[in-house]
Amino acid sequence: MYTYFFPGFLKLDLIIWGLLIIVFAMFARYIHKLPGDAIMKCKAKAIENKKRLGIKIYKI
Amino acid sequence: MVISTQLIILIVYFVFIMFLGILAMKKVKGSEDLLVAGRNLGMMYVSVSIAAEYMGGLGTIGTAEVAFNQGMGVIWYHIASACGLMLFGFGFAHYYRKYNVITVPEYLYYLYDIKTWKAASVLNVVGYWMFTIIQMTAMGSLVASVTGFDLRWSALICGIAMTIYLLAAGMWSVAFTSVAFMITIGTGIPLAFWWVMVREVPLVVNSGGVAGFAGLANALSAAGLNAEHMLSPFSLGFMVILGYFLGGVLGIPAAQATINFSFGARNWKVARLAPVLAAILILPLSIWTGSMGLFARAADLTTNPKLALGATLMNINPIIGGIGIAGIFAALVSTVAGILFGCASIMAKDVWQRWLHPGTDDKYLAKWTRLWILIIGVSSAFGAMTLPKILHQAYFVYSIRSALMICVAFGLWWKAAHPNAAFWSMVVALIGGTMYQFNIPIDFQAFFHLHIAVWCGLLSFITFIVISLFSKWTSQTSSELPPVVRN
Repeated sequence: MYTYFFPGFLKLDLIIWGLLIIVFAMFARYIHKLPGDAIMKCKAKAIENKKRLGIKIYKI
Repeated sequence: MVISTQLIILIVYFVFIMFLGILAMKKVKGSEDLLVAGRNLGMMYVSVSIAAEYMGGLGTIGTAEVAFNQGMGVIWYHIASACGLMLFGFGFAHYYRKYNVITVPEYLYYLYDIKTWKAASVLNVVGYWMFTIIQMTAMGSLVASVTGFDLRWSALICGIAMTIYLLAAGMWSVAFTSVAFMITIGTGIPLAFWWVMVREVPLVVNSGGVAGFAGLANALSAAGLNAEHMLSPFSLGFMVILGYFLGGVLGIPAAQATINFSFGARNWKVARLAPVLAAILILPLSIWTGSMGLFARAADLTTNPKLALGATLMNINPIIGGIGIAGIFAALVSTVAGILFGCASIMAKDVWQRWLHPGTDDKYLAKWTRLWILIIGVSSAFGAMTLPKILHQAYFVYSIRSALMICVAFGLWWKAAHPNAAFWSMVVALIGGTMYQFNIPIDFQAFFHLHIAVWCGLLSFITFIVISLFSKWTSQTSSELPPVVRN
């Protein structure tokens, strides 16, 4: 009976919850260190293909 | 109708939410305010809105139902969803944000071409319209169990009330009230869970007077169930867990209703971080709801798994039960609002304004967004009266969403990703999913032994790869111009 005070599903979920909190803290630190214009370095391959071939991308 | 304490608490709570929605009206001045809250939502609003949107009928009533039948392996539903949200924050949010998109189909145009944008718009509208019907049905089920009202009329009344609420102020009303929702969900549901485990479990015959999971295990064993299995995190089996992961990971990064709030973020840093915070917020939900579903089984409160959570909350202390029901109701309202709003956004912005009525102004869009909320909301409320099978239909929508995610992911990271591949992978997923769902011409599940999400995901994945490998980008690719050309 004693083992059911803290069953396996609860242990697993709490471990994953703890990991998520650590990951969030690390990710937040990483994001805040990035310069404000870092988003300009995100280049989608398909959009780059269009630019390379001179296909104009209009705002819809 | 039964006037219980729980019902009175529910009515008071609903009036309070309507009041908050009306307060939010003052913030709306144009279509950007209505659709993406003027792109001015801070970290708290975005993360809480995403989390509240995701804690819907499936995350509450659905998880309690699964736990009632199969045990606490249901925790994987929210673990998988958390992984999907983290994936969106890590890998997708900043790409969407760079182009300041309002809808997912719009981004698919930037990646590919006009026909892909049109196909994605149709796919999204069909999927979310169905999902709105499903969630309104779940909402009607909860209200029916509290009031004793007819289920069909409950679904209709809830659907129309939700439509009126959303018409008030669009995304601002959803974001503004989502903080109240999250507080209600975060206090009501765990409070009811705590009460059940500490005060109600010892009262169950054969619990041995022991509180907590030990008492619950005693009662489950006495009911002839394998307590060790029911309290194991692996009680559902590998295939079901895989299905949850496919639904979460393939679904969320292109799920308009969930990620809509990220589009409304103040800046790209908030847009990336908020979904990861939302993942932390949603994770414990299935512990609370699943345990209460299992309690309904151990205490023999109902024989209908769908009513497990409602039955538990109606059979405990009325005040605590009422607060718990308000928490579940908050979860349902926030999800219905998010989905109805996501569907109306795509219908008004992509299909109605950009595609069918190009060149029209901001005032026109705000008017038509409201009109489409009304049309989709009222028609879904009547659709909910047909009482569709909730999970059965939900997985059809999830499967459609997986095709969108495949198109976005390939467009971001694969150089050979081609517009024709994106278009046809969506068409194939829609046709293949419909054939699977309605067994045309064979029973696909019996024949292939694949879940519909796996089936649609595989179809669109293979179609995408094959067509991309046999297609080449030229200067003529994606040469069709948008309905109105803006530089």
